[in-house]
Amino acid sequence: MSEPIAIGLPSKGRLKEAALEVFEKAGLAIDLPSDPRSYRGTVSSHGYIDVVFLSASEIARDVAAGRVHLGVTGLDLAHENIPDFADKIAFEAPLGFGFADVIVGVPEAWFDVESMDDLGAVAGQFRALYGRPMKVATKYVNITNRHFRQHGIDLYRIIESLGATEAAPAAGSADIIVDITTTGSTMRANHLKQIVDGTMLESQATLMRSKTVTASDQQSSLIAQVVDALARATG
Amino acid sequence: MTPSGKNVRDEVEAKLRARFGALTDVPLLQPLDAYLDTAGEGFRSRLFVTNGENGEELCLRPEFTIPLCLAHDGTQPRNYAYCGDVFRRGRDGHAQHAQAGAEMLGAGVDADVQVLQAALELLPSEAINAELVLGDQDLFEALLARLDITPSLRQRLLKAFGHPGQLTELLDRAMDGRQLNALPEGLQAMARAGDSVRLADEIATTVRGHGLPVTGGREPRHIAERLVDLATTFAEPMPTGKRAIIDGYLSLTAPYGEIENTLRAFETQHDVSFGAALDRFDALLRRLKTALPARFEAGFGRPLDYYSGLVFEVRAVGRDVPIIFGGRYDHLLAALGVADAPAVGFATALDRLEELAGEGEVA
Repeated sequence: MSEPIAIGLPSKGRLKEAALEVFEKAGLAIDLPSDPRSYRGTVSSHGYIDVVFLSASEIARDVAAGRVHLGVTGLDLAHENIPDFADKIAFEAPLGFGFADVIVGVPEAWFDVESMDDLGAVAGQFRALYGRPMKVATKYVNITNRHFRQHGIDLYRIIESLGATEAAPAAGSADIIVDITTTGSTMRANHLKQIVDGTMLESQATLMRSKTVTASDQQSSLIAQVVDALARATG
Repeated sequence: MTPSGKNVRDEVEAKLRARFGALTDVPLLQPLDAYLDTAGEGFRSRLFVTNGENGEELCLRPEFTIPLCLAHDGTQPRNYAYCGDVFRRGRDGHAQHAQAGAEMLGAGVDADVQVLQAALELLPSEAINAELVLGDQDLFEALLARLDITPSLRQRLLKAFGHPGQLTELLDRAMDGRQLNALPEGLQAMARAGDSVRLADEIATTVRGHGLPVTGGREPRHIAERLVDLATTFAEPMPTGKRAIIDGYLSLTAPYGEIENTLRAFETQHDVSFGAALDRFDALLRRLKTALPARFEAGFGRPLDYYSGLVFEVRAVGRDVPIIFGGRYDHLLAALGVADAPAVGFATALDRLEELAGEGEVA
């Protein structure tokens, strides 16, 4: 007998709805359990697919750990939460929803800051002028550190922020922010602006395949079929 | 079995004691802030972090220099030597290893040769396959001053010194010249005219209009001053001649006996002068006694804010991590708020020293 493959999908909200739509469009309509409290589903057209509904942030971890063969979640969650994600996760197809860019936001009044290069120069002045490093409010600690390092910026401190990050500069708890934005309107409302090369990641819901799971030939072929169908449906 | 292990450690400790007196210990747990504020946020991932009982962040000591600086009474110079375990996540997976070294806190440039000599003394007495590499940030600083590089660019180049990629990027941008196209025309005119006072007023008005605390974050006058700097000194592209001299200098290298001649020849060829920085470096070379082959690399430095002046490393042939590394860090005590005083020191990893001694026995 063949073993089924497991696919992790977001368990609630707009991401769940959009994921279900994409699967249906790809000819992989998901049957939801009759009990709405259950977190399992099936694909009636393909008997060997188990659908597991998980929290969006857990899906990246489960794909990386090989607990599911495939998963749908935001690219930002893989980049932020999974060390060495490129070794563990293959990003198979962008799915065209859940768009969110991870960007740097600096106060509009920083007229002299138009690029990461400017930001590096300003960060270098903080200690001498204010006796402290530049403070960056974000929940994207790892993405921020990587991006800043790429631009040769090391003189800053992360202030971990779990909500209302855009308000941190006005509240005085940070100088700049790194956060996700879809339209930029929250940033503008808080008098923050984006800068050239300050976009760290253009994130959207993405079909991810585990590189760490062991799959039989039949499972591998089924995984390839699902990847192919979703790529066609969204491509 | 590493029969040499204990011996190497005992020997190192004895040599350090002979030069610097009793060894100093520092607490295993150190304030995380001191590291992140000086080495940068990126260093956090290499540290073992925990919390104190009041929630303050602590880390296992990743080295001795900063703990010694923090414990130092800044009012008078003092020398410290140490030997103990340090903890950091390394690329080779060894999270804990023994480190030894010395710091001369408050010591001026005359101490450079003592530190270098003390470091070299720790090497095995038999012939080893290694070389001493010397660099000096003061020489680069002197060259930039002589070339009339604007202070703000000079400061950034000095911070990036030792990181070829960052230096190239900064220089490339300086060659482009800077336009402030996104700045409102009225503000552009003020910036070009060097009117940082009016510019600061305009910025303060904008900030007040946003309902933000004017004094929070950066001060308007600092934003204005940087705008003036960009609109005046950075508007003109750096001439290709200056760039060629800087590139030429950074790629300069010379074996021990020819360092001074090479640098003097560079001065003549490009009509520049390293001034007192070269006299000082030359004095160090004359006093230094080394059995190792030695070499000067003009571009050798450490891309951190608090390093200055002399930098040196003992590199084993065929290995990418240095056995001994040291140099001058005149800005660290000030950055930590301890004292406005210079300092110089070195450190060595005992396991690397042991490996080197082992190789010598086999050879």
